Amino acid sequence: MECSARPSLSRTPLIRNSIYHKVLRSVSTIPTSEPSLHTNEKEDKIHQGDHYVKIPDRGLLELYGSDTVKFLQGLITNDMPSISSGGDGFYAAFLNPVGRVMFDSFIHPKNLGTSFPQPTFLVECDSRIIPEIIKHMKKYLLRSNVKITDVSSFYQIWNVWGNKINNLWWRNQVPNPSATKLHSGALVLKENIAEIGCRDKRYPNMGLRLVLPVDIKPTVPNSFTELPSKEYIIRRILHGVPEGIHDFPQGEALPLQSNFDYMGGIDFRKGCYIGQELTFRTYHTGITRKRILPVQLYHEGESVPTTLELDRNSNFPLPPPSSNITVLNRKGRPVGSIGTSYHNIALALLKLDIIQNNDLVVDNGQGEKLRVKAFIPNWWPKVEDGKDTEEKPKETAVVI
Amino acid sequence: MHIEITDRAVKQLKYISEQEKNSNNALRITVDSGGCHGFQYFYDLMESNSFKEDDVVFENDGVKVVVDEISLGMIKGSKIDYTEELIGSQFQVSDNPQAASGCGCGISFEIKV
Repeated sequence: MECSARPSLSRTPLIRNSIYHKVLRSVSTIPTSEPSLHTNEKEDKIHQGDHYVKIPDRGLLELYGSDTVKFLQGLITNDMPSISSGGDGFYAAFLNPVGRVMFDSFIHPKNLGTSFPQPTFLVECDSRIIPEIIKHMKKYLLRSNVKITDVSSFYQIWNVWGNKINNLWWRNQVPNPSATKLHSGALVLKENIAEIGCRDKRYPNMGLRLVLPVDIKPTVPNSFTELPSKEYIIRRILHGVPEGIHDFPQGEALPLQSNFDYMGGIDFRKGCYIGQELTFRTYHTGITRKRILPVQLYHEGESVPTTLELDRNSNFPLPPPSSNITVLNRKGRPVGSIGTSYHNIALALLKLDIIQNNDLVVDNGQGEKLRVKAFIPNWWPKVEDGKDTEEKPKETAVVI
Repeated sequence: MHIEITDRAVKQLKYISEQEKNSNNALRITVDSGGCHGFQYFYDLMESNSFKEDDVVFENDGVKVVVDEISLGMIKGSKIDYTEELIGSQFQVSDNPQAASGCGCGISFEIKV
């Protein structure tokens, strides 16, 4: 068992006069021989253009005190020192000691202006399990100087996306726009549409995530229009971005299965944190056999979907979260489970070697077996043909 | 609420006192959050005349081990041992009845709920 963030040396075969340039990484078992169906790169019709939405079901805990950075560093999968002096927040997971996901979260430095660095952070997580998160944190608090307060009622989280978002996040504010040249040493002010927030990097085009006081709307140009909160959920499903208690049932999924690696939520170089041991070992030596993917639900007798197509008129009963997905007429263990669902689409944790199967079914909770068709998000890292599971470290001979 | 100090730990602490020519040494054991299993043991040498209010002192053959109240709740019933292994020689809390599992190096542990 490794405890520190160093790969065990004994596993690396020593070859004289050669240097390994590549370290083994975890691979996913996506079958590469047959073409898999990918999600559409284009946004849904309603999501095209510049938009902003209120993100539903998110709460915030404020952590304040001199030990906050050290305390969170021991609890999360991402690297606190990188945001300890303020700036943008990041995505991270809280794991339990055996390495399973307890909660997904964003950690936002509460940029307090000139009085920073005062270590104050907002931990953004599912609002429906705030008491459990506080309990989880308090277990490890001991004598740490950290105060935990539920501040959910003071803030609203927003998602802003579209082509123009780059001009909203830390734009330069030139003091005199008509001047052709600034004199040397001129200060160029930078302006931001929110003090607290970040670029949401889980999916490349996800957009900005803003934490604003509860009564304030994002100040965006006229080209941006507000969409109802449910569009956030739909967009999340269409692009395969899991979030909250339905996609991460507490203490069940592993962080790599939950795409935290693809979504930039894990720093594999940081030192010990709760659950690191298994996560780190899987990354270097293991294979990830399951992942969370977008799926389309349809009825028996309908043709198998070839593109992930949202049907906003669809309102059939949906399977409750954590419903088992099975292969039709095959006995044995379930091959996956359902997470968030809306209209005719859902997120599902599925075994990757069966995702091309057209006989996947899930019970809708009322006795009907819905068909499940899985799609691979187009933004996932591509696995090239032939260098899948058996990838060997490449050697470069060095003459000494 | 008892903590056993093994003969090996006694021997090592006496050896340290001898080396440092200071018979006032005591071993402080603290539990704090950290490590891959959530909680971590910390070991410090201290002057045995600088106890704090909530400290509990255990003694074996003149050797003192000091544990504060918060930490004691999580290591009571354990043995304080000194191990010499390939991975390194160190003081170690072993057979902790409160620990559900531990990491390979024995420094980090998970607490039973």
